Amino acid sequence: MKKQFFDKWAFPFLSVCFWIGVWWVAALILNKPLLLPTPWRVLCKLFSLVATASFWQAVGTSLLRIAGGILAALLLGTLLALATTGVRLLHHLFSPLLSLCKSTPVAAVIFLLMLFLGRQNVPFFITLTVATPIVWGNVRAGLGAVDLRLLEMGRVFGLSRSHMLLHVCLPMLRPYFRAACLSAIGLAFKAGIAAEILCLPAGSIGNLIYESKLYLHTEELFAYTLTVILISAAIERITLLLLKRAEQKREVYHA
Amino acid sequence: MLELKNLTHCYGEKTVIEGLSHCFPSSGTLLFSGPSGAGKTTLLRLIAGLEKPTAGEITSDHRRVAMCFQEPRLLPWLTCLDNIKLVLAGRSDADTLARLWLSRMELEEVENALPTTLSGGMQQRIALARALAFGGDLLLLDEPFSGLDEALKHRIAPFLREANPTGLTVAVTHQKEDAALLDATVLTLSGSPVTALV
Repeated sequence: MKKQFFDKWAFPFLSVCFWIGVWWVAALILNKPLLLPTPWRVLCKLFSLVATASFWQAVGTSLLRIAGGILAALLLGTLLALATTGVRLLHHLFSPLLSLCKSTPVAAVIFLLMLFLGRQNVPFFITLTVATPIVWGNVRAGLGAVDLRLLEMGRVFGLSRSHMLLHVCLPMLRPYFRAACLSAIGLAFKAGIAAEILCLPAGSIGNLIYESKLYLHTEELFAYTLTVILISAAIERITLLLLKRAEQKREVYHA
Repeated sequence: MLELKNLTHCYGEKTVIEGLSHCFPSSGTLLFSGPSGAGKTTLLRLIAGLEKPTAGEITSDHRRVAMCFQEPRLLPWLTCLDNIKLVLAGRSDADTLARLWLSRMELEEVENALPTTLSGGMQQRIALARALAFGGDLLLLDEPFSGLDEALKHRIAPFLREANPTGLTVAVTHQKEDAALLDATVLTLSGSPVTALV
């Protein structure tokens, strides 16, 4: 119990405190707020920003685009994984595409998409492009690791399709899907905000970050970056909680 | 009735069963015996419909098949009780039946435990309880006593004998003395590849 408390809460908290301390000391030594403001000044700036409507509008717009891209990627990646596992021809057809998506520089894709889709739509599609291969690869690995002996058992006892899916297949895929969600969320936020910075869609966090950089408002730049990190962490946490709740719901099983 | 007609089965180049024909009674207990690797499990899997014969056919008028595999094949994320209830889905007496078979297997104390926390022998008994609770008219048991000590074997055997009074029970074991415990007729797999049951 004590060990669990330290591992889960105390050590992560102390670790964050340590790195904030490092940042603070570095800012004090450098003593150039225009280059590296102290954490306190960034926090103050963040508090002043959250009191403005434009901040929340930008957060809402960016969140909507990126979260939409992540959800679409989860759906598309899972469908592609099912299709390419089930049909060998589709696997051969889509595999090079998967490798291509993984290795192409994000910035190059952003500029290409901007030519075809217009600046407002790029963050959504870049999130989709970056996250889909991750979901696809993870779910595919999960499907490859499915224990065929358990499927055979279900077949012998004549389990219905819904029971096979809910109680045999999905639990086997769960760790892979969880890993896919966590990796996809982190990368999607990075790529989505990068796309916003390069495409400058109106009223987005990326646009505000770009403007902060342009006018050397370093405190604002740090505050917006911190906002993105906090949103990404919150979405990650909510996703984990939702997955956990779904697991518990399923485990309270009464035939 | 269960009938094998000119059954042949190969794994790649290797023929395991060749031209096997046999007619089984519709009820009773049979025990397939033979050395390790003789093809006992293959024959059981063919009867269960888990593998398609290379040639020949199997006809059966049994509607509900229950099987206890050589390995327990329990779902590790479900409790022992839920593993049994899963195959009884839709039955109003699922809970009672599952608990009854758990107690017969002397496992009522671990009903809420996850299978991975139990020993191999205990997992095997959960798998047995699952197959027996399912109550098919064709009960297939692949090494049902594996992992069980002699005393436990003797305590559990009566339940196996009485589990399927109107249907056919087919067990596979490499120990011929298990036949007495199950009150079973022994059929020895003859030939390599198997060509007859004697």
